[in-house]
Parts: sequence; structure tokens; C-alpha cells
Amino acid sequence: MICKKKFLDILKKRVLIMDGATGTELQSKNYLNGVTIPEELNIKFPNRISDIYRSYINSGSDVILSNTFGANYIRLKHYGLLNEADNIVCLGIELAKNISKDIIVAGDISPIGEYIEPLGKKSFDEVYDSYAFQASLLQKYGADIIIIETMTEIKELKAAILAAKENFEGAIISQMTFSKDGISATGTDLSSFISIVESLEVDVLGLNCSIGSQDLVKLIKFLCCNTNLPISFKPNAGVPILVNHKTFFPETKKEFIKSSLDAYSYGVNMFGGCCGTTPDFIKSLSNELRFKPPIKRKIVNKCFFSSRTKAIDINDVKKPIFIGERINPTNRKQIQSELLSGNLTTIKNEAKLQVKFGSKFIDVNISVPGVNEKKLLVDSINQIQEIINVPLCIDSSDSYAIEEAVKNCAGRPIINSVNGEQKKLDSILPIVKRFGTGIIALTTDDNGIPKTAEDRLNIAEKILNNALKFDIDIKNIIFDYLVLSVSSSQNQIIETFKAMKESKIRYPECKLVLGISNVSFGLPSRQTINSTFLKMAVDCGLDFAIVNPHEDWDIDDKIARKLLNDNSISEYISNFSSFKKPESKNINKTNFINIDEELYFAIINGDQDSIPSILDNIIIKFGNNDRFFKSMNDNILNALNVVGKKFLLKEYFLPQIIMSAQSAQLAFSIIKSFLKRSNVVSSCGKIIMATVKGDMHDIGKNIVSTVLESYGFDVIDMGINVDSKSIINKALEIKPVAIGLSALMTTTMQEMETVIKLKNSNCSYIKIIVGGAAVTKKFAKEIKADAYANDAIEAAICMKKFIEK
Amino acid sequence: MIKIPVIKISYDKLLSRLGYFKAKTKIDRKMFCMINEILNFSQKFIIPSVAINFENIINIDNEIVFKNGYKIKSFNVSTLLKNSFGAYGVVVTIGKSLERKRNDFLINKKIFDALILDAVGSVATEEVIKLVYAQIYDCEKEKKNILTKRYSPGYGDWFLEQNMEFVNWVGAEKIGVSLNEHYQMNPEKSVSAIIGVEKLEM
Repeated sequence: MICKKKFLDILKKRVLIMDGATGTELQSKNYLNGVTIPEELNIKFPNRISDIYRSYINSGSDVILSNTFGANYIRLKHYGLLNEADNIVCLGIELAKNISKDIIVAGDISPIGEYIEPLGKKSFDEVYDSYAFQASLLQKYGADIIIIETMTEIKELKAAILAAKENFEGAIISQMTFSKDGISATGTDLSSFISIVESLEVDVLGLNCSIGSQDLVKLIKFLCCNTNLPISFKPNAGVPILVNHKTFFPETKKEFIKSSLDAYSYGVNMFGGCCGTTPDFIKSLSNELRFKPPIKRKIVNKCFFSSRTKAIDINDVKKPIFIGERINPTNRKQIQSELLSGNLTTIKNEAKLQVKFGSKFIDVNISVPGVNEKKLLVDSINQIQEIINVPLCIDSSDSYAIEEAVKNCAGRPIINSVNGEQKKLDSILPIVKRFGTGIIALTTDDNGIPKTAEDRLNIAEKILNNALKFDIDIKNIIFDYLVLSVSSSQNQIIETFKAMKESKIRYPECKLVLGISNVSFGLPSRQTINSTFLKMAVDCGLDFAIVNPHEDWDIDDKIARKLLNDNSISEYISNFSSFKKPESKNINKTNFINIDEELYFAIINGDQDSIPSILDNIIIKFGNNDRFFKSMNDNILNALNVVGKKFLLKEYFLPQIIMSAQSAQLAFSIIKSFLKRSNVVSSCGKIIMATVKGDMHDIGKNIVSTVLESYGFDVIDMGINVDSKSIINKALEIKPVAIGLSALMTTTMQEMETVIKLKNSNCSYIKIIVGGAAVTKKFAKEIKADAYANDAIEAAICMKKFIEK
Repeated sequence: MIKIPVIKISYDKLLSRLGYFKAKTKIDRKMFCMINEILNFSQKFIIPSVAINFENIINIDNEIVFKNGYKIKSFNVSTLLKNSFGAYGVVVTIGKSLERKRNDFLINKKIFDALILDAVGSVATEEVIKLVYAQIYDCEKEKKNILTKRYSPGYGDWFLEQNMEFVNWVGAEKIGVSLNEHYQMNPEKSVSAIIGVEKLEM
């Protein structure tokens, strides 16, 4: 096994030639006959794999990727090959080494085939464990390096890199797959990719697959200008298409070589080919580039933080960088009550608005007594990061919650925060190191807030020394020299500024942050002080500011400066005591209306989030009053009638119907649960909904079910592909008002007639209403259905008519 | 030849698919943001693949007979291809990821999200086949040929039952498209179509 240092030394001296495609070569030689997955060839037909390896070694490859592409735990288990894992990996490596002792054998790792939640169903830990299993086998059987390739999803890449780092001693190359516009299938751009792989300290990063060399080389140029790490380049021979039953790769060898030479000129270090390339391609590549020294690239000084989709280079952005502070339940009752019920609506809106108003990072703090902080923080991170494109700042005092949250971050976040307490340093810094995050370091410790700049700098030094013990790059540390209120601690502003200036001299690589709004606590016209203080802090080297981005940050007031500089508080008070707080930029006033109208309009506007609080107010005000609740019921139905009319007039379309229906559904469920407690149950009746046998379409039926529930019906949804006997048996059991049948295809709608015939011989009193894309009014009449509905609103109107009769 | 770039779904096309009427339907800012959020989210799940097959036609009567022996029994298709010397069979799909996510939303009663995602899938599939058609058009135009409009199994008298043979003829199993015993395509967001090629009359 070649050690990491030796491999990197080789890369400094010369470029390396990797192999070409394995998959398409196996296909073209019909070598996949007799196996379920290609990895099985290692044990069943090793000669075939040896043949592929040999063809590339003879063509001049320095590096051969072992036939272990999908040999991770999840995939091998899926194909019933888990008990052969050791043999598969061992032979995958050994077969190459048997051909040539000089060859570098790269353990090949690739996607599991399923996304990590929330995009998919797998947890981060499950995916990590799957890769750890594979990496440890590659370590055991002597792979020289690991190449993680063809990755499309950034969280999965993160899991793979961590698993490789923690279970394998050799060098790690990390390659991702992008479309020609430089975006991966899951929205990640090239900078975000660099951000993650650099922070996780891979040894080489690169691009492979998906697009041809002519398009990939444009992307590789971007990488060469934005990272100092060695780079690998492994393109397809063009984008594959299936023509006349054969997969065809359109790129020629000449085009491939030209692009590879261009990539060489940009400073790429490792070259190879992916799908569609052949030993002939590699031979030409080797003739051109083998043993050549790498072209030295210009050193760049980038420091990326990222979201799933975009990255920010904090060395290249105008200061101060705003970290939006609004996701914080402190003194915010609405957020507190929402978080207690797991409702993330307001904090998601806050995230989006803060980005709109200039925040480059979003601080996420969901600490409320009584919540499961670990779970809620992870849920918050998972949901927020899918709707904004800026990096996150994970704000918690619970190190377990922080670790889980960081794990689930699709980008590179900052952890807020650590301080000089040894216990905190010991719990947080390992997380920073493992996941490559940034860290806000508060210069306080067990003794509280130091009074002098020098004392704060001493704590900074302690934090730095501890960080170095964990081998953390100090450029990831962002010092907070603390902001105290000028009204109560007037000299402290000077100390803060003094510490900041000195910090920039002693530790120029470390950035600075402050929580700005603390400075004005207890004073009038807080924004005047906050904004002026911010400007003064930037002059002292401030990089990040934790702020409310909606406020006015352009103010620079002389009197406020005087206050901050030399404590002239009386002058400030006399000038600003009558000052009224300006309205913040984002105003969302609601007119005061009575509770009846609130509920009515909430249904019409589809404002589901406000329903619980409106009904809470009703219950508090009116208590257990059945007549009043009947009136609420009527209000909801009136609102739905208006919604129905708007739909018929095309003023509303389907999404708005759903929102209104779900609001009404929620209102009904709250009213129902209250009425049940008072032994008064209200329901319009039961309805069975089903998609008929043979038909797998779900969504139309679900939309109709939602609308029917909003009208107060109890809907029993039997799902899809339901045979007629099961439907009628259910109907005999629960005696519904009606059965709703859905079919989307001409081949399945015939089944509706079967259901109707069966119904007529068993329970003819039950009505059947039919609908679906393939179904027409004419067809409904032919099969003697009781009614036909073209859409969800018509279905609700029909059902109401049934119960009125 | 066929190149499929990243498929970006336009907000307007999505609205249209959802039943929006420009002159009549009123959308507020909140609805706009909600739809856009899911639209942006859904892009991750669109993974297009294409299979095409071209064959010369040797006879058109009540059925079309291709050179390799494949036959299509449909008067409507015969009419479509009456002047064609050959035809492309095309199958496109955007993969299973989107419908899996949609089903997750349905299970979790997030009907709104499921509705939008489903509509995105339908629009995306249509965009892919339009793109393929346009590229085949350009390719054939260079050879001084023109195309008929595309026509899919399940329309007119080209009954859905014939789709099984059609997609086999195209070789769609290699892009992961299959049909169940009721001829429903899997993945759901897949489209198959025939496109005739005619000589351009000068």
C-alpha cells in the first residue's frame, strides 16, 4: 500500500494517468452476462476483470480503479452479496496488483443509489456506515488510494469522505458529477463542492462522468482557479444516447485528447476517462501526458462556506458579512409556541426574508425549554437549507444537537459557538475538526466576561491552542470579543475595539464577529447606536456582524459616536429620548377583524398556519358552546362554497383549492376534537375513495379526498389498485354515503363497471361517483354510475347533494 | 445527435399545468413563493433519459410494417405516417426520484407539495420530449427531411395495449422504462411517441 505522503509527492513531480471506462467496456465485450452486478465478476469471472485491467495497464495507466464501484454495504445487501463482500473487494484489488506491482490501485467508491433525507429516506448515519464498511475492506485488502466518484449529492459525498477518512489511511480523491452548466443533479454548484471537499481535507478533488470532455474541461478550469488542491479529470466520451438498442457515445478520441491537453494546461494533475472511453483513448492520453510534470497553478486564498447550492468566499466579499439573527425564540412567544408543536413555518419565512434583505449567513437557534432540541434542530436545518441558498450558522449550547445538525448540513456551516471553558472546548472542537466547520469563539470562560482587552485576548489564545491540539486550521476560527451595553458598561466598547485591533495583528488569519444589537440595550433609538457601532467595529477589523438585516444599517451618527467613544450618554439621551422606533422594512400588518371573519378569511386565503391560533381564541372566548361551534362549522362551509365558486370562475386554481381545503380540514379537526370531548360529534358522513384495480395513480384521488374532508366528510382512503370485491366489502362494513372511484387510464377504467355491478347486487343504496383523467360523463352514464365529477369541487358538490337527498 | 441538458421548468408552464388562467386566476405573493419553493426543490429530482430507435417503413395499409418486422395496427397512425419513409420511436423519462418524493409527500398528507411536484414532473417530461423532437427535427432537416407530429400509444385507435411492444421496439428497458400488466408506464413520468420522417417536397 502506498502511503499518502508518497502519493502526494508523486503528484507534485508528475501527472498520473488513470484508467478509462469499466462499465461500458464490460458491456461492449458482453462480460456482464451471468452476473447480477459488475462487482460479482471479481468472484465469478475474474478473468474478465483482469482483461479489462490489463487492457488499461498496457495502454499506459498509472492508476487502476478496482472493480468495487458499488461494493458498499447497502448495495451488496440489496443484491444478496453481503457475505461475499470480503472476496469481492480483495479480488478487485488483487487482480490488478497481480498484473503489475507498479500500478497504483484505487479503491473505487460510488453512490449508494438512494438519497439521504430529506431528499430520500436514508439517514446520514446509515449511509456513512455503508461507506465505512466499504472503506475498511479497501484498507484491509491493501488499496493504495480511494477514489470517490460519480457523486451527485453533496450530503452523500460528505458521508463518503468522512467514512473514507476515518477507515482508510491512504490518499482520498473526491470526484463529483455535474451537468454542463456546472450544477449537480441536486443543485450543488462547483464552489459548494470545493467548500465541502476542502473543509473535509481530501487530498485531490475532481470531476467525472455525465458530460463529455469538451464541456467538462470548462468546469475543470473553474476548479483550477479556485482551489490549491490537486485536481483530477475523468470525462465521458460525450453524453450517451440509446440509438437502435445500442448506447452510443458521440465524442471522438481526438476531441477527448484535445480537452485533456487543455485541462493539463490549466494545471490538472490526474487524467482518465469515464463512460464510453476505451483503452485506445487511454493509450493516446498516456502518449501525450504520461510522466509530464504538472503545470503549477497560481496559489489562491479562498475560504468557502456553503449551502447545498451556493458558496461564499469570505475572503472575497464586502465586509461586514451579515449573519441574520432573527431565527431565535428568545422573547418571541409565537416562535416559541410554534417550535413546541414542531411547526417551522415562521422560522422558514424568517430565513427567506433575511436572505432577501442581505444576510449572507443565517443563524439558526431553536432552543426552547421543553423541545427535543436535537431533533428539532435537525428538522429545522433540513427544511431551511432546502429553501435558501446561503450557509447556516448553527446556534446551540447542546453539543449533541450541534453534531447532529452539522451532520445534516448539506453545506459547510459555522458553529455558534465555543468559549474558553475547557469542557466546552473538549466537546465542540472535535465536531469542528471532524466536519470542517467554522467556529465562533467567544472570549469568555468559567469566570465570566473579562473586563479588559488583554484578558479576552488571553482566552482567545487558549482557544487557539486547544484548536491546534485538535489540528484545526486557525482560519476557521472567528473570534467574538464581546459586546456589552454602552449604557451599563461604558468603558467596555473601548476594550472590545482594542481587543479586535490587537487580534488582527496577532492572529491575522482569524476573522472577527460581534453580536451588534447588545450595544444599545436600554437606550432609545437603538438602531442609531447599533448602526454607528457597526461602522466603528468595521474600522477595527470586523468581518461578520450578527444582526437583524431588516433594520437600517446606513446610519452613522456623530452623537452616537461620541457616546460610544467617550461615554457622553447624557447628550445622547437628551437628543434621542423622544425618538420613535422606525418601522422595520418588512411590515405585514393585518387589519383587526372579528373572530368569525378571521376564520372565514383564513379558509378563503388558505392560511393554514393561523387556524390553530384563531380557534384557540374562539375556544378561550366562547368556551364549550355547541351553538357557537355550529356557527363556526357553517362559517367554514360558507368559505368553502366561496372557494368552490372562485374555482368555477377560474379565479382560483388547484393549489389554492388545496390550501383552502387543508385549512378547512385543520379547522374541522380542531373543532371535532373539542366537540368529541363534549360528546357531540359532527360528521357529514363516510365516503370510501379508491383508485380501481390495475391503476397506480394516487394524486387525483388524494386531492379529492382532501377537499371532501374539508367539507366535513370522513374519508376512508383505500389506496390504489383496489379490487372491486374489497371496495364492496368495505362498503358493507361501514355503510358510507358514497364510494368515489378514480381511474387514469382507458385500460383500467373498465374496472369501474365491475364495481358498480357488484355494488348493485350487494348494497344498491350506496351511491358511486366516478372521475379521473380517462373518465368522461358519457362513460359514467354508460356504466350507470350515480354521478360523474370532473374535479374535486364537483365531487364535493355531488356528495353534498347525496346527503341532502 | 440528441443532447439533454439540465431541464429547467418555467414557472409559467407550471402554473398553466396547474390550471392557472392568466386573465382570471389571482395569485398572491405567498402562493407565488410557495410554488416557487417547491419548483426549485423539485429540480433535484429531474433526471432525464432518452431512448430512440429509427426504422424504415416497408408497407403502410391498415397497419404499418417496419423493415425489421415490427408492426403497428392503427388506422390513425397509418394516416399520420402515410407519406413517411421511416419513423423514430422515442421513449423519454425523468426517472423515479420525483415520483418517490411525491409519494412521500402524499403519505405525509402534504397534498399541496405533492400536487406541485407532480405537476413539475409532468411539465418536465413534456419538455424532454419536446427537446428530443426539436433535435431530431434539426437532424433530419439537414438531410432535407421533415417530421410528422408525434403520436403516442393510447390515443385514437392506437390502443394502449400496443405500448408494450412499442417500448420494447424502442429498447426502453435500457433507460429503466417498463410497463405493468395494465400498460401503465414505470416510471410514471415517462412518455412514448412515434414520429414519422418524410422527404421534403421541393
